[in-house]
Amino acid sequence: MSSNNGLKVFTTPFNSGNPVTVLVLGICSALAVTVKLQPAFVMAISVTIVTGFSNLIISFLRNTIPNSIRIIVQLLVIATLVILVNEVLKAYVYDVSKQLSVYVGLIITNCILMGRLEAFALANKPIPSFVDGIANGMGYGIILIIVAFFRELLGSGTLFGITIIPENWYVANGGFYLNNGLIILPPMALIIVGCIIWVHRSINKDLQEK
Amino acid sequence: MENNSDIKKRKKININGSAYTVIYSVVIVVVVAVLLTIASTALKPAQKLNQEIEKKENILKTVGKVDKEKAKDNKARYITEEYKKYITESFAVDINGNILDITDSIVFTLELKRELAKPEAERCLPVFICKDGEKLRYVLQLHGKGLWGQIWGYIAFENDMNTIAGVVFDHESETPGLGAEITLDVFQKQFEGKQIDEETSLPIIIQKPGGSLNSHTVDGISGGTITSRGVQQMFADNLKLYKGFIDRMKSENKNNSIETNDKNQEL
Repeated sequence: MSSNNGLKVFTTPFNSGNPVTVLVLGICSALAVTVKLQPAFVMAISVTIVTGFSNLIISFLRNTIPNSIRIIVQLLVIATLVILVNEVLKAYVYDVSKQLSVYVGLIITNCILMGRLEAFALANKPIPSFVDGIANGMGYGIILIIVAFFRELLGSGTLFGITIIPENWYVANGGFYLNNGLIILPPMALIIVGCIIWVHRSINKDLQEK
Repeated sequence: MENNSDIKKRKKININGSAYTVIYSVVIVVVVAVLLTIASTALKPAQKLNQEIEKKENILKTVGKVDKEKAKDNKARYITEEYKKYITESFAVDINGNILDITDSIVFTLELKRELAKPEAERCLPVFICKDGEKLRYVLQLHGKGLWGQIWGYIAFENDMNTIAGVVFDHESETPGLGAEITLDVFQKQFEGKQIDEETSLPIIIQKPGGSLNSHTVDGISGGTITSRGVQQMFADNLKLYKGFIDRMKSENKNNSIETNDKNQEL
């Protein structure tokens, strides 16, 4: 990471450094929030904001943090940011905060956050760190949204809550179609993530181990 | 350049020494604590107002008095006005169904969760009365357990205290797409018009989707079995709590109808 080329910092998380498909971080939350597109979207945005700003703050503090307590300090910064965001949402956009409430805990425990703080923000200047945080959050968010797209479409026949599969296709209405009940269970998210990794690796040959 | 200044700084203070570490952690904890306290105190009034509006909205929803289109523009004002118009009376009852001497504004702040922690004799159970023309409906509070956390809601009874006019459920942390579906209209609409089975202890049976339904059963949620069971248990537990009140209302209704029958006969 010695070259702080802004563009490279920004694009890596979308391809060869994707937090979910390459670094395999943040899998737990990717399974939990991808049943519907809307929560996946909310989660993607909140993680992006929190990774961006925690990277920025830790990068500002990086020369003052004692090595022995650096993990605790990182955790403190992440937790503070998450709580602040949640309090503000609760006061001004109550509906969104109600959707988010389940995920607040998941944001704090997301491995991507601490992974980026340790690997990037502690060794780089604030601006590249901020870019790195935002890009990693977005790289994570894109995978979430892809997984949620398939799970909501095949599992509930809707996208963002809007019905996509015509009503008269369903067996209940005399048709031939049934929603796939299996796909709304967490293991299927793992399988979809696996498929994404497969596609990703067959496109980007550099990722294949020899 | 930056490396030089870094080295200079390190020479001045040993950032890995114990004294520095202790002072650093104290300072950062205090800064964070102050920051969070300020944020929490400053935002509390706005948050409280939101919760109040939500509670009013939930109560109104059980009696079908929330028009989503009208609520869009200025939700807070719309809900407050509708609440004033329809919810004409609220009071609290004890476990035996006696009305307690508590003012309306305190009744509104009663939370079943807190009341359940008290000994049985001291519990104050909130009741809201919705008056729509001549029609009276009674809204009771519910509180129970889902899969991951608490679930709660409101249930409105028709005047006979046996037919369900409507329900509203909400949850703390049920799985989105599975247990969390209890908040959807599709699920809640099923309860309208259902009746409490007075013979069995379970008021409404939530069963596996696909089976045949009668006036005491509704479809559960696929993949949300434990949450569905939680809702069923919540009904059973909470209606037991309100049993005193429900029984009293029923016997009053009976007396009233006998009186009117007598009058009719006399006429």
